[in-house]
Amino acid sequence: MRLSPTRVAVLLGLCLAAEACAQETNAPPSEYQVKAAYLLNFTRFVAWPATAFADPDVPLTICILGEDPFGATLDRVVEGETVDGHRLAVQRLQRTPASKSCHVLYVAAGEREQAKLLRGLDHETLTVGEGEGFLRAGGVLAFVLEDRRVRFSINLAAANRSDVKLSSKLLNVARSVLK
Amino acid sequence: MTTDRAATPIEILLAEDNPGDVRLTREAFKRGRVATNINVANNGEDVISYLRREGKYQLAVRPDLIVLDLNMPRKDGRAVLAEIKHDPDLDCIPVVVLTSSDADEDIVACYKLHASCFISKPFEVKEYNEVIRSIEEFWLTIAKLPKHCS
Amino acid sequence: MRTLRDTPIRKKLIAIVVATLAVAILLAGFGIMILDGILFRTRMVRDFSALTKIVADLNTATLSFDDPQAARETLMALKARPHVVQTCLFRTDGTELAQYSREVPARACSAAGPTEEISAGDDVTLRRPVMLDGRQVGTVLLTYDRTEVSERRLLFGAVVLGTFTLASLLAFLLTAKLRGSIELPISNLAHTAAIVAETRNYQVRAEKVSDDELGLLTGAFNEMLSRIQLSDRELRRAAEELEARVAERTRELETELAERRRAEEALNRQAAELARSNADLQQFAYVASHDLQEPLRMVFSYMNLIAEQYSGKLDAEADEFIGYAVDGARRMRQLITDLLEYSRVGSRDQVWQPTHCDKVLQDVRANLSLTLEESRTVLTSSTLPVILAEPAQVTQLFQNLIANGIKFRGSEPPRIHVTATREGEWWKFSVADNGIGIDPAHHQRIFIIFQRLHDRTSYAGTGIGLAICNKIVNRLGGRIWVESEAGGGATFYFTIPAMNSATGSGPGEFSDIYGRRNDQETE
Repeated sequence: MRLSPTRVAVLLGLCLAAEACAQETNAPPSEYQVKAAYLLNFTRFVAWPATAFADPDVPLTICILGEDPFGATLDRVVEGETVDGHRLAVQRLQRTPASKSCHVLYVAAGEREQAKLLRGLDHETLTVGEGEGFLRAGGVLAFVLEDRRVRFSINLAAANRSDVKLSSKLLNVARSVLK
Repeated sequence: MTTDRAATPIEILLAEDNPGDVRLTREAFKRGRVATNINVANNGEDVISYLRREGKYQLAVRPDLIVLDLNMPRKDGRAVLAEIKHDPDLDCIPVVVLTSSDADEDIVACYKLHASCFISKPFEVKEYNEVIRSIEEFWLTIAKLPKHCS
Repeated sequence: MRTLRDTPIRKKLIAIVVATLAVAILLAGFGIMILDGILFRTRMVRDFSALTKIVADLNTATLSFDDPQAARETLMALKARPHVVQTCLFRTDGTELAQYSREVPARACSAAGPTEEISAGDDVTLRRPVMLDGRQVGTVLLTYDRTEVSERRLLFGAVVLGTFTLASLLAFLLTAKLRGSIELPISNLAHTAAIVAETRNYQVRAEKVSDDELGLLTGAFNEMLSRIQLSDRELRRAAEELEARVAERTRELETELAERRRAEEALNRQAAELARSNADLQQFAYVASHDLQEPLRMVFSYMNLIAEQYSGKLDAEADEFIGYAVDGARRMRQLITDLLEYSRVGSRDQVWQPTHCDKVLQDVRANLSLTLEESRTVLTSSTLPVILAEPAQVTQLFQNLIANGIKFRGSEPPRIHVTATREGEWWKFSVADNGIGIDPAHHQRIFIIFQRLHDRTSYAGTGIGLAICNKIVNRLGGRIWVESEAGGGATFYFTIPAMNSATGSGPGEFSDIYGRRNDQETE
């Protein structure tokens, strides 16, 4: 897949900021490298209810449900990062997580019965998936490709239902917002 | 009195009203060396008459010298002198003014009227005699006198 | 300045008010303007810093998610701020994410540079990092212009000018209102003063309009006029009085003058009479002397002849009698001679001429040489002046005085000193001797004719010498006196008026005159 120079620059910037992608600076970032970075960035424009964290030492956990497309990239991206004082942790799941175990739940593209899955989740989890279909299924954020660039869309109704509050800035950047 | 006296005495007209002075003058001339014939006129008018041989002086001799006193009755000596000097027949006769005056005015007036000399009468007799002797010496011996005027 | 001084008071007042206003308004205006400028600049910096921060804040997401489109949309909102020239957003690597520019073409912008710089013209460029959660996600650059400052200044100037104009207009109107209370009283005063100066009518008064200082001034002016009126009246009265007095005095003077004229005429008559009688007297003295001479000489001469010719023929008594007669006649002759001489002083028309007294004294010395020698007299003198006189008389004067000094000598040889000193308009001569002196009781008498102090056996003479001296000095306009004590010598003084140019004549100039005169005098 070809990446625009702008894209490279963004990734380079992210890498510098994360100090975690030294090996990949000379290669153009892959789609999932970008998506991994975005996952981290999402956490910065989202506010969880106080109940989502038992105590300040509880890490902000990013869960990946289904087949993991990021490999080690995501781990490298979040390593050493903090959001609102919380460390970041990555968990890979094969089935629906337990209540309050995931702050961000990435649902891989291959997962079936996504609607059913999402309905079963508690309201303190930010759900991120692939494609607009995920949003129709009740997800809050979904990566979309636009002109071969990684963008994202938002299901505002789903977001409103959730206890997780999205920043207006995030809405501003989103490609489309479902209501 | 002296041997060298001239044959003809010199004629002198003495115009003098004061007999005392006439006497003194006569005496003085008498004592002189020169023979003189003194004729006396007692007033101014007589002097003129004598000189012009008028009246009682028809036979009068023309004087060689006139001795004139200034203070005389009838006609003053100055007037007489003026008349003499204005008469061409008489003006060459020497007139010796012998007077008691020694006033400047008189001296000047007389010489202006061509008096030959002016002599003040000295007070002392001795000096008077000296004066007369001087007149005689100068006028009658040293000076040459004219015989006639025209 | 002169022109301002000569302008009417009203214009001066207006000028003062307008000038005061101008100063006040301009000072206040510019003060406020400067203060506002400072405050405004500070506020502007603060405002634009805040704006930059907002822009940065709004763009944390666009930078995080590398969204130029969204970023551009955000920046476009700055259109509402006309003083924002340009805004640029940079990624952390320095590449530009989005840009907004008021101008076309846009200026180049770069992430690198100071946080604040003044760029082209009066523009200010601010650079701020875009922070998200403690990390820099990019850089924002904002350039704004400061035309607002000058715009504001312009506006301010216009307001100040407007205020000034309005204030001046109001002041003018107010001054015109005030004219009545200031200018009117003054012009009243000026007008009244002009009337007084022109007509000298001190009855006019200036109208008093107000009770302020001008009112006081008017009052004082009127008071002054009252006083002038009063003193003018007095002056007039005094002048009339003076005139009357002058007229009276003139009448008096005329009377006095007439009297004086009468007195003068009387005096002239008397003087003429006196001159005539004086001339008669002189003529009498002269004639008498002459006519007396002749008989006296007769008496004397014939007495002498008697004494000569009858010497020894008469007895001793007769000789003695004749001796008395001769002596009497001789003395009478001397008296007559002296009287004649005395009467001659001033009897003739004499010519006064500059007479050198040194030369005169020389002549006297010659005339008296025999006497001086015989009496062993020491005759000394100081330098003597030139005087205007008849030289022969001056000679006689000196000669008589010196002869007098010799005649009245004491036991010692006579010493006689002649001096002259200048006293104002006069020369004061002195002839001092060491003789027997004169009792002060006789100091007046000795100058009178035929007054003698001594019997004729001790000192011969008729007492005419000093009388002649007195007459000569009197005729020259001076006076003669003596200072002496009996036995202590005598000093005769006499004064002669000084010549104006006495020092101008040399002693040799008149020598021939002296010579001629002296020959005549010493006969």
